[in-house]
Amino acid sequence: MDVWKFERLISEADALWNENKQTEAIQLSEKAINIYKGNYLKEDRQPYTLSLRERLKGRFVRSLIRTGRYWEDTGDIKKAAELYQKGIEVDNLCEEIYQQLILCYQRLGLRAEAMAAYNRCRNAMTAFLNSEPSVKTKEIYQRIVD
Amino acid sequence: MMDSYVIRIYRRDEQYPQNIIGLVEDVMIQETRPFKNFNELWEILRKKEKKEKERKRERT
Repeated sequence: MDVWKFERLISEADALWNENKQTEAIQLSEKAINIYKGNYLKEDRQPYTLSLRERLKGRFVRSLIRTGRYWEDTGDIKKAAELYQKGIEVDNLCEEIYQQLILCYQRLGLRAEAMAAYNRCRNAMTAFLNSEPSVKTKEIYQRIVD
Repeated sequence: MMDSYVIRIYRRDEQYPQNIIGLVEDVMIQETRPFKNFNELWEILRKKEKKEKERKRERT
């Protein structure tokens, strides 16, 4: 993974987002998202690598959510859902991604997939955090079930 | 020896700010443990310190 390129693209995209230049920002964000290949140097336990790995992951997740929301707002729900799925593969405990994915499936009329995404979220929360999904996630799920 | 941890906070309770849900990863032994508030987080970090002290005491 080209770390320098990834960080440069994310920084440039952030600047464009802040200037409300969404079309250009999306192009750079998507390039960055495609460069990211999961946890950077996963086996390396050096403090410097750890800090870098966590920063890259954080920037990836933030960029992915921003990009997904853009596609949702512009009506390309399928594209947004695909992005969120990718996000969950990278961080299976990021509840915000599950919430957006469930909402996308709901908008696409894919009720079974929405319920499966909720169950996946609940299982991950239970297994890794010894906790339940948040009130907000449960409310989203409840709206689908009702 | 220096200990390295990664602390990931996944959720904060707006009403009760002391309630934070997350994971602590002990980098050296690659073990992760969940916590639900600051007290649990502190206990996880303190237990390791206690274990180290016990080990040193046993050696002497």
